[in-house]
Amino acid sequence: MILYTPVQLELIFRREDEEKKYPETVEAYVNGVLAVIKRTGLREGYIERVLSTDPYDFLQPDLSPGTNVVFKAVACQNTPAADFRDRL
Amino acid sequence: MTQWNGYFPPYTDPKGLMPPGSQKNSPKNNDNDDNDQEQEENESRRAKTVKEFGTMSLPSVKSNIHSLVIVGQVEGHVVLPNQNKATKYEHILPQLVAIEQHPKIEGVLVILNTVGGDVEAGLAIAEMIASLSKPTVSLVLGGGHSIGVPIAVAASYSFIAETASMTIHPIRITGQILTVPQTFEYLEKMQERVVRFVAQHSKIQDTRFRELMFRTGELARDIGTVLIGKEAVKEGIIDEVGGIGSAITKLRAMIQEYRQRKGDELQ
Repeated sequence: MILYTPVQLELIFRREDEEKKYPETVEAYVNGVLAVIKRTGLREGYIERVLSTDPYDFLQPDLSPGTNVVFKAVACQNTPAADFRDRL
Repeated sequence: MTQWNGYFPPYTDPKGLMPPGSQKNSPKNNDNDDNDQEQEENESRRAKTVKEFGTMSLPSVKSNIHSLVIVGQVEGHVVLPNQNKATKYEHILPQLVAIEQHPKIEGVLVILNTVGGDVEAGLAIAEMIASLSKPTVSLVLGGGHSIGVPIAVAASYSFIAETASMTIHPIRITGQILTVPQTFEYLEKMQERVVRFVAQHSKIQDTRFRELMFRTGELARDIGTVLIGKEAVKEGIIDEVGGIGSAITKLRAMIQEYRQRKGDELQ
């Protein structure tokens, strides 16, 4: 891997113990839109960023950054991916 | 913001992403005895959602222009530590495929505010943007440094904000260094990929680009050049200084042209 960036490598790769200060990020569907979610607990987190190319997705008030979300477990029988998208 | 009027439309998969027959309200499932009960459950769940959040998702309006936002580090084969803001190629590449394929999407606006990143990932994204058959316009805001340069020039037409900057500097090695001539040659080769791509997709000559890359006295900690706003236009890397308004106007004009060309082809 070659990184081509003016940022110093010390800033990109920090020591391992420092890294624990930053919350884990996960990706999940919220209202049918893929979003990056920062985890604050086992089952909850808040929206960090919306990963969509449709500009109108960003107008959904439910998808504004910082909105709290709760992860939901879904039974696997006949599970459309959409079940994951429904917010609790 | 839309206010809830007490009416719930059935969930009809506005994005068309669900596999056929998997929708709870699809006619295929009608003979299911549990259907009514299931629907009732659905209603109550929706009601709960609204009670808790007080808002309802907007009806899905489709935009014919989609935007690709490339921010932070461009992340490639190695996952960067958590504190980095990164744009991942596994997100961007499939999105570009979807954009190329979707009949309702007519143009792409690439928004850049990046500090560079992985060479392979950056070039992959740049090649994808360059080979899209639909009109593409890029807009550099804040910064489009290092590997952001090939991504910016990959679009058919490029804009840069007046205050935005682009840093052009040599590729340096990360990781294991072998002090043998091959290391230098390998780096030279990687750099050549970037230089060639930029020269091919913009008005700058490769010799001039290399000159900017190795200029001394401009950067405090490195050799290279910082181009701000209209300097990038003067060097021929970017087509025009402008903002979101001019970028969208240009994209709309290109879409018109594209439609006409397609219409001519059909006749």
